[in-house]
Amino acid sequence: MTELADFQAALVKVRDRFLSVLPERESSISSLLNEVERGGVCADCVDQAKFALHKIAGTAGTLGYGDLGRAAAAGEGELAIYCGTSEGSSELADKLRVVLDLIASAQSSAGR
Amino acid sequence: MRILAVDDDPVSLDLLEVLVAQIGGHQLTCADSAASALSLIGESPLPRYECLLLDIQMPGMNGIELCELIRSNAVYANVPILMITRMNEKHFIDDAFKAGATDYLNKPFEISELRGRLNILSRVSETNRAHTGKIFAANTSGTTPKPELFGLHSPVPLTDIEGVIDYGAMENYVSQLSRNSLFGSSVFALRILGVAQIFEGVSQYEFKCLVTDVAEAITLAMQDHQSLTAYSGNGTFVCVVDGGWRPNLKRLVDDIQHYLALMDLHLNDGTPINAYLCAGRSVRLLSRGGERAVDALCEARESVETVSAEMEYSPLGMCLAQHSA
Repeated sequence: MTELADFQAALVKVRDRFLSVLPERESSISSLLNEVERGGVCADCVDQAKFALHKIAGTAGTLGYGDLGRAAAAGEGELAIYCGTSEGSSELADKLRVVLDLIASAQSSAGR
Repeated sequence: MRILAVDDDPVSLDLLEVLVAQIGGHQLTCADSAASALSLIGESPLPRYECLLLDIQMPGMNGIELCELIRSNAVYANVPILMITRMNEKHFIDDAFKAGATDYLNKPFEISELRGRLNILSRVSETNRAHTGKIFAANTSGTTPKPELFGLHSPVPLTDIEGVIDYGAMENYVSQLSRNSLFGSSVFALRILGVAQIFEGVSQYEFKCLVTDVAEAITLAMQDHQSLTAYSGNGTFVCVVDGGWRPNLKRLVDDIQHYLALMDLHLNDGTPINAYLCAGRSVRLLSRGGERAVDALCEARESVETVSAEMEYSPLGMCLAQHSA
């Protein structure tokens, strides 16, 4: 196996690890979206979703999921505005939906 | 280099392992928390790691607090620390450099960016090793002449002064501000008048003490404002201040002189020593990007050198310089 092939194989393993932790992160984001849609957001739920978006935004881009990384970063930014408040917004909900769609797309393309 | 990476995200650590292996020439150890990192660092007379990569947002102790704690360990006072983080707001960048970070890399990053940063930090680490070697040689051979540890133009690292960072870190700081489009700050330089004469007339230890005292006086004079200061060598200090504050440099120099007078500086033999400062012009970092932000530091230094040259050749300047030395 060539050096490049070794590198690519190692990156695929990291990508698999990224995909393996996505369901947990997806669940946090999804929970927040449900609360936003119901019109009330709890601080704990915001923290968990913010953590999930932060982690996705940190590595997705380097692993070839640039769109997902940028969407997560946008969601994190939008969420920062609402941190500590009890209100959500349609802008936040829209950004969370984009992230969830891209997570589904990443999982689907990886056969998960 | 022997590198220690600290991040609570296992995916980030896996990714770093793969990328650092691909870059080659380094050995990477990973820690998933600040506590785990501190346990790996342990206590030894020489640094176990030659470079540290720290995430900022971690449960428990965050990366900035960890950086500050590591810097308080004398063994790691000069070991390069690269913050690798998603936190790109200015206050995180400010706090990281104030805590002792050498450089700052935003996630997500390309392998080429990581390679570039590690190459630079590797050179910093080699310089540190060479310097440490000279100190050990100086300490262990009593009969040999005192080695030249630094020259007049060396950017002597000053430790344990809040708000004072290495000059290399200062260049990285302004570059990072420009990368993140956080313009609006300004930079100016201050210089000790007659510094060459002072350097010739005192020991290296005394010169470093003087530079440290001046740095302390500068930070005291700016304590109510958001600022970072670095010593760039040749008696010159470079200060970056937040866009909201446009300092009156003449008044600032007066304040610094006031603090220096209170410090009542003396040489080892009890002889009083006076340091008189001058200021160059303030240079805005506004709309500057990449290397142009670093150029602003050079402009500020050139400006103060011009001012100090004019003052040193004036009758009052000659008098002050002779009085200092």
